[in-house]
Formats: sequence, structure tokens, C-alpha cells
Amino acid sequence: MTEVGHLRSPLFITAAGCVGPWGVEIADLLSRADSPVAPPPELPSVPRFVESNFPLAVSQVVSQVKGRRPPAEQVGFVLATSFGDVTTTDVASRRMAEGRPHNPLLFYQSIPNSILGHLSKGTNFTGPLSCVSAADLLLTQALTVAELTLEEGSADQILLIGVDLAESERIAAIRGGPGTAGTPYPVGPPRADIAVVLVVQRQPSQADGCWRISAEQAPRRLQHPDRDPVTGSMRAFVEVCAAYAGDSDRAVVLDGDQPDRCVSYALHRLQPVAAGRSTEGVL
Amino acid sequence: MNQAFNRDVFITGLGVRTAFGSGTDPIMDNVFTGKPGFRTITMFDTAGFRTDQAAYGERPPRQSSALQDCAAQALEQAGITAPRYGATLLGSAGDHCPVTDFWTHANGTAAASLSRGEPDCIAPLADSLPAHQVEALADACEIRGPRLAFVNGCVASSNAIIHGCRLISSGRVDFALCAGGYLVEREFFAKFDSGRAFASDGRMRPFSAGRSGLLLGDAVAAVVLESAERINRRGGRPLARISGWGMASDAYHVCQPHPGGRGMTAAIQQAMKMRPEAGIDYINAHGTATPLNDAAETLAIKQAFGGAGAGIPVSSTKGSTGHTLEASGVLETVICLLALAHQVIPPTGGFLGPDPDCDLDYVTDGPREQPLSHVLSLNSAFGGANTALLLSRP
Repeated sequence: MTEVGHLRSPLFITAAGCVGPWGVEIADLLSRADSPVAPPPELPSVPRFVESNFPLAVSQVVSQVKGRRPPAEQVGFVLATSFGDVTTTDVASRRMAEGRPHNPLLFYQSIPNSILGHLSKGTNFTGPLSCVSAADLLLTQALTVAELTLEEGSADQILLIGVDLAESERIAAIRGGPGTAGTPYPVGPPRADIAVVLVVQRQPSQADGCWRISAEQAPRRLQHPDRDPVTGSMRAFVEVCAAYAGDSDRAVVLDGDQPDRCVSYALHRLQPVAAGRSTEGVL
Repeated sequence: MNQAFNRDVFITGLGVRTAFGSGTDPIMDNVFTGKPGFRTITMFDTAGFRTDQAAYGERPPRQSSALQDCAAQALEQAGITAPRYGATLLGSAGDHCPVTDFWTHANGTAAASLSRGEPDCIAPLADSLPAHQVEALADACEIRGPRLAFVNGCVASSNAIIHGCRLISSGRVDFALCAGGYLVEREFFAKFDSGRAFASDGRMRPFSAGRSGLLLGDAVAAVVLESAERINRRGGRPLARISGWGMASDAYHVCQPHPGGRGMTAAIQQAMKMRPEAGIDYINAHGTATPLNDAAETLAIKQAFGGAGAGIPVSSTKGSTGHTLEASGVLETVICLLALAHQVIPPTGGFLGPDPDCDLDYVTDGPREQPLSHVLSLNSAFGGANTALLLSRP
């Protein structure tokens, strides 16, 4: 086991979606990934959510997998973020500092559960709802939460969401100041708002678009992943999403910012099989 | 329960700080007698707010220092010495005092407009990030291993405990430090006020007729979870066993509970399925004293336990401690540990009289002494998230 632990058994990604500086569809990720321009994505509004792109980005990626994920009885959420909804926090705080009255919509919006509660309404997503935050190895830790939830049997499908907003004035001040043990805060936020959704489950889907993700037994400790200023804290999430959307059948994604404790994940595309045939041996 | 989750999980250490002071004695003296911790706020101006009351005590210099103190107490009681390999799991929304400070100074606004005699915040701005807080906590406690903050509101620290149980029960780690913290400050006070969530009469009255909402309260707490194998190896003494846990969602609303208690019912049923033979002797309810929550939670308990539900003693200790938000799960786990240790049920502070929508056996008149073997701790949060933790005598 690495110092942080990792997937013990493979999980299967049965649908994926993302928004980011490349656009608001997963197809845009590949076609515009090299674009140096990173404007904030224009996101559809969500009733009763204001000011911040955080809930809008989450809503947008969940809408991308609606109708594309395999049916499941018990669906849960794991939302992972390094910096949280900094816009909602800062808008509310600035209003207060300026002596303006609080906007009651920001009351519930300040908790990331709220947008998930909004999205689960009418979908019967009654599985566990976890929102987690980590400074490093965000994908690995979020996958572990999803894996344990699935393994335990309290959900049979998880919508695993990674989301972070572009750097704000407050986050820039934090990253410029002393962080843990006097070192700079390790990984920065993305250049523009990014959200990714991975639909994960323990059983493969026989439909097209199913990938197996597994932690490699011998983590590539010497390969320090390049820090990507465009994707920042969302780098590993975006790379998994890019592999899912790409033409290749295999990929390796490294998670982590410290060379001595990064975790490598092997991704394999499963070939769709005829109904009634097992996918075993097709990998 | 899946066969992969085959290791027993015990609590072996705790540290706690509430409005009543540091340690468990102030909790026994106050929460277990139903005494409310609410008093008039003097640390910021409450003019224009629905209430000026909160349950707060002597302020630690920083939320992070209080977390480290509680964690150190819990680790010392558990006898776990450094260097340590385990999980560090924290339920917190971050310390918002430095956020207030940052934007106040950014606007050039006089700090006096926001505080009355309070010195400027001394917490570093990084403490506003839960991910930083958990890194700092693990570093201070010299714990290597997974470090994860839970940010799902009022179930954050109960979710941290549940994740710790899963990590240990499945054999991934041998111990987990699970902590949670919230200290009353102006940012969340103003947000709750704008949401009209506060009790208008300055008292929190869970499950009572005439209840009108919640009040905020201070809490920082930590518990150490350990596997049975590790306890046996080092000759440790468990305080309680975590026999079951459950998490489920309402799939109903942004911030209101399902009126029929759907998610809470499912969370309780999951926890009970892990120890079906356990008869529940006491339920420490979420009990936020809002008309919607208490009625829905009452229905959830009745649905989960059927006819037996009416006979289970229930209380909400938030009537004494106030609503401690992200710290609720770990604080109320500590209260359940004390109930098991002392064989006494803490009462519901602020109770005025029965409400037709709340018709369970609420403990209201004072502490109730009775044999306790299995107790249940319930919590809910915005978005319809619900948790249940089943604690048993070791």
C-alpha cells in the first residue's frame, strides 16, 4: 500500500463529462485542449443558484451523463474539490464587509451538498452524498471514498465529481503566503473553472464507453507529473476524462504532486460485447 | 455487510471542547443536566439579526489550535505515540474568521464595524481551506497516511467517522483520527440569519411545541478509531465499539429534509443491518429545533423501527450545545460515548411541551438513568444528506 492507499480492485467508468476552458462539452476537451485562451466557461444557469460557477459547473457535468450512464438502483455522489466554492464564500464575505445585507440564496449555496440535493431531486439518487477536500492526491482519495461506498454496498453507482474554480484574490493570497509547514500550498487551482464527472461502478457495463481504472501495482514513483497551470488541482481528473473521450484504448494517469507519493492509474477501454457474453477476457 | 468489511472498529480516545469548556466534565455537568449554553454575543455586532444568542465559550486562539489540542488529547488517551501511520479525517468548512478579516481590510473598512473589542483574527488565511486544515492537523500530530477533509455541512464529521470506519473495517488502515470543528463567527451567523434559520425567542427547543429554529454553538472534538487487532496488539482499552453506520440521501430538496424522513430512514436501516440483533436503548437525534427537521426525523425513527420506535428514548443535545454544524457528528459521538460510559441519557434542553408532529419518547425533564448497550447518533445536512452511527458498549 502506498502511503495514501489506492484502489484495491478495479472500478469501471461507464460515462464521463467535463466543463473547462475548452468548452462545456466533453468533445471540446480534445478539440480545443491546446488552446492558450482560457476564458471562464459560459454555463447554463440553475434556478436558485447565483453568483458562482461552482454549482453551475457541477450541474452541467451531471447533465452530460444523464441518459448515458447505465441504470443503477442506488446512486450516490462523491464531490471532490481542493479549494471549494471560493466565489460563494468570497461574495458573501465581501457583502458583509461592505455592510450590505446577506443574500439568503448564499446561505445554502455555501455548502456543496446543496447543488447535489437539487440535482438528485426527481432522479431518485438516494445513495450516500459525500463532499471531500484534499490539498494533494484528490483523485486518489475521492476514488477511495467511492470504492469503499460501492464495496460496502450502500450504492451501486457513484457520480464522482471533481470541481475547482479559477484562482481568486483570496486563494492567490494564500498561495503567496506560508502554507503547511512553511511551504507554498502545493497545487494551485485551475486557470479557469473546471468540473469533471466520472460515473463509476464495480461492475463493467456491456455498452460502448466503459473503461476499467485500476491502480498500478508498482507506482511510477520516479515520474513526477508536470504541474499543468491550465488544469491545476483538476489535472488528474481532466486526464482521466481526456483518456475516456480519446481514441486510444489505454492510458496511464498519475495523481499527486509529490514525487515520493504519487499514484499511477492504468486505464483500459473495454470492447462492447454482445448481450449475454461476459466482458471477462476482453480487457 | 460485505465480507471485505470484516474488522471490528472501536473508539479508544477522545478530546472535546464546547461552549461549556474543555474536556468531558463540563459536558457531564451541563449537557447531561439539560443546561443551555446560550448567551449574548459580544464578539461581533448582532444589531439587525434575528437573535443575539449563541452557545460559545472562552475562545481558543484559533480553530486549528483547538483541533490540535483535542486531537492530542484523543491520541494520548488512546496511547498512540508518534510517528504514526493512519488516516486523518476532518469535518470542517474551514475557519472563516480570516476570510472576514481579509475582505474587511481589502475594502479598507474599519474593523470596528464588524467587531466589538475583538482583536484582528490571528489565524492564517490558509486556515479558511479545509484541505489545508487537515494537512496542518496531521502534521501537528505527526500522522502519516490519508488526509481528507469532509465539507458536506452538518454531516461532515459523521461522514469523516464513517469513512474512518470503512478504512479500518476493510483493512486499509489500523487507526483513524476523526475530528470536527466549528466556532461561532460572524460569517456563518449572518448566513443562517439571512436564511431565517434562527430561533426567534433566543432558545433552541428541539421536538418541542413552539420551537422556532436553531442557534449556533461552539464545538471542536476528535475521536480515535482503532481496529480490534491493533488494540489487542498494544493492550489498549476501547471506550465503545462502532457497530454500524449508514449514509443515505433524500433526493428531495436543496436544503429542506424529505417530509417523510426518507433518507434518514434508509441511513438508520443501513446502520442497523450491520448489527441486527442490537436493541437501541437511546437515540441522540439531529434535532435542530426547526419545524421541518424535527417532524421529519420523528417520522424517520418511526419508519425505521416500526412500533418499537415509540419506546426508544430520544433526545437532542443541541438544546444545550447549540447547532455545531460540521462538528455535530463528532461532538454527538462523544456525548453518546459518555452516555454509554455513565449509563445515563442526556435530556433535551429548552423543551416546553409536546408537539403533535413529534410523538416519540423524548427525554426532556432531566437526565434519565437506565442500562444502555447500544445507542444511535443521527445527523442531517443540506442537500438531503443523512448519517447514522451505531455505538455499542465495548
